[in-house]
Amino acid sequence: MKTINSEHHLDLTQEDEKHYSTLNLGPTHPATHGIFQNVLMMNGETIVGAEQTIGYIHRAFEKIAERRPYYQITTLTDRLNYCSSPINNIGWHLAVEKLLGVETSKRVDYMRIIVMELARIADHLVCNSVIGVDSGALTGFVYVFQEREKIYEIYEELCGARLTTNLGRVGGFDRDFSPAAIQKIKALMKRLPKVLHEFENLLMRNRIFMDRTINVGGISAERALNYSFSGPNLRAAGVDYDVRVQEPYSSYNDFDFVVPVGQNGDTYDRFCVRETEMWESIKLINNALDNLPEGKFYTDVPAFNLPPKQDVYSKMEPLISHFKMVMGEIDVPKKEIYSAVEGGNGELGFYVVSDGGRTPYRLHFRRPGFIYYQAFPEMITGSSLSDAILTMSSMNVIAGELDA
Amino acid sequence: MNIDFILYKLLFAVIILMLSLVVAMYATLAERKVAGFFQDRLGPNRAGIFGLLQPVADGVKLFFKEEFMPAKADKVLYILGPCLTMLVALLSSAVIPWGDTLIIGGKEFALQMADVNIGVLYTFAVVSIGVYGVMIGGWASNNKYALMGSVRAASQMISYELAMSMSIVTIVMTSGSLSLNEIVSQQHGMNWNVFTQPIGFVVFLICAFAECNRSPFDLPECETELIGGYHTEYSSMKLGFYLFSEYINMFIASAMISTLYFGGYNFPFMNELGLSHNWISIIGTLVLMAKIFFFVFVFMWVRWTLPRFRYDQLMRFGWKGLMPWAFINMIVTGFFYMLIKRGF
Repeated sequence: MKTINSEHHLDLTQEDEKHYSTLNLGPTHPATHGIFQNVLMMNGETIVGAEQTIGYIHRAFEKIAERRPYYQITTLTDRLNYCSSPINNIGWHLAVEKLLGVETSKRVDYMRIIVMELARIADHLVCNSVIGVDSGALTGFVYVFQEREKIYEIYEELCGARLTTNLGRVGGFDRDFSPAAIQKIKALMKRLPKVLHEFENLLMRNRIFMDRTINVGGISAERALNYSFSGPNLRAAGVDYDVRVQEPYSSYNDFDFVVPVGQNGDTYDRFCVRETEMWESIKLINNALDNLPEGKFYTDVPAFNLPPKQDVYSKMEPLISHFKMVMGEIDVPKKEIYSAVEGGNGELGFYVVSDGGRTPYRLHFRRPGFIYYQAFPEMITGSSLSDAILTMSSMNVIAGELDA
Repeated sequence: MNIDFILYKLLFAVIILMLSLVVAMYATLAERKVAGFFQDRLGPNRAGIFGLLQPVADGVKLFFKEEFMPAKADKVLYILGPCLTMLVALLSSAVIPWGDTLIIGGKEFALQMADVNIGVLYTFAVVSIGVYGVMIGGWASNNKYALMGSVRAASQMISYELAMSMSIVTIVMTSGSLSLNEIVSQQHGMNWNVFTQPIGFVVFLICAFAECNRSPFDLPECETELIGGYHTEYSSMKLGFYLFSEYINMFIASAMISTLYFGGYNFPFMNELGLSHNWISIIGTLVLMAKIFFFVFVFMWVRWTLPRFRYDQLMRFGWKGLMPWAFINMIVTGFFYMLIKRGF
């Protein structure tokens, strides 16, 4: 193992290394959800140096995207933060709409908000309950996963898929919310507060849990900003930056919601910020559902509006047009745009350079998990192994985002 | 010493051994059922009715798993570790009084394997050896996670044994005996020690959790940090021994709690029932079992409710939290005991 010499780590001499031992945390460790590795330099139970490794699930998304027509990139975004793939899908569609200069209708916007907030709840549920699991309390995890399952059933109703959803189309959706979907969302919104309360009762004021998480894996607002943190992790450090408010997209500015902000940027603050955000998401969904305008579930973007499936299967012209759209026989303007959405674990950005061809000339995903992971060694140096595990799960680093 | 006595003791030893094993076996099933109950799911229900054959299936599976030994492991110690743990877990049940005496054909048969006059010390001695099994296994498997697990186990056990023995000293003080049988018979009826020494009981209960490596003190084997802790490198029945001994330890710990603080085989109104001595003994044994199972349930209940401590918090809690309370309990109880004894 080479000496760790970057600015935040301790400089270790040869003499020091004799007293310390290296420990491979990952890639197949129960607490490295997904696959990533940390090489830790340990002094007993204390971490004196850490080095993170990526590349275990490298899938070359950005390179593949350069050869793929716009519609086919949606499926790549599924695999970024797979805990909240609808946000990624819709985020990509919003980026393409920005490229094309399309204004979507209110109904489409509100439908998107409902789906995105559902995905945010699913994402936060996973993250917060996994903090519980990693601190040894498995029960809360099982409670909330039942509700996450309900959210996945709603996805199924909306698009037929569960994890990698490929949900929505450029300009809107491929189908309207079915009555069953609306009924399922309403049922969930009734049940979820109860379950969330139960979950919070288990952990939030639990003395052991608080001792385990308060002042653990903290990061100052300044350091967080320097690292370009975003999302719940930045808000936990005390910066009220939320893409939904700063750069409203999809008519988020029609709604009134609170952006929770923490103080210390530690694991407990991140946990609480996520909890509060879930409550806000429930309010947002209820509001959007109540005020859902009548109208079409898609906006007219003729070049991107896929023909109805039954026509594709039975008529020649829709089949051809469907084929041409999916294979990218579409004109897009020559442009360079950056479009961002508030993803499940932070600002998910799409930087698209289009040279007018059938595929983007260059596409960069701004993946929040990748950015958090860079700060990981700084956050855990000096703390114990147990703290490192909790810090990692509370950052919500999704392995799918690490490599592009 | 006649042949009857030897035969009886042999038979009783086999029964106690079987009892420990069967209870531990079904404790694994109970744990999963209890976990299912707490987590709003069913638990194992495929093997046999209500999953009753699940422990058998688990055992068969463990036996047929590949025996894997790390290349650089110390062979002798690697095998010795789980054996020692299992042996020690089975030994400690010898001094627990499972019931009063049975009178058959004019002869008195004690429902206790060995009524040694240092029963409390014996249990402690045996349980203390248990940590060697964990340490040897963790060290011999030549794995950093296993080593960390065994180091944690060693310091945890030593720290919590102090507070535990402190609370037991109080019991020994008031009862004036180190024999478990004597301690139990002094708690006749409802004179349970838990009423006179509630602090001691709480301290003992918490320490028992720590001694059994149960959540929230399951740091030596916490899977999210140390993968498997000291048994990371173990497979097949050697792993089975480690897991199994945990459940036996839990059973023994519950038996000790019931014996020391909840009157063992004593139950309220046992004299008023007007039953024969043998019937009282049999009911007493069943009552003891009920108490033990209740505490086993408490062990599981806590495991599926609480998160676990961090290593330094565990140490701080043991030394700064439990030790002072055990001391206070000892001094206060001793003070009042002397007052009462002097006739104030």
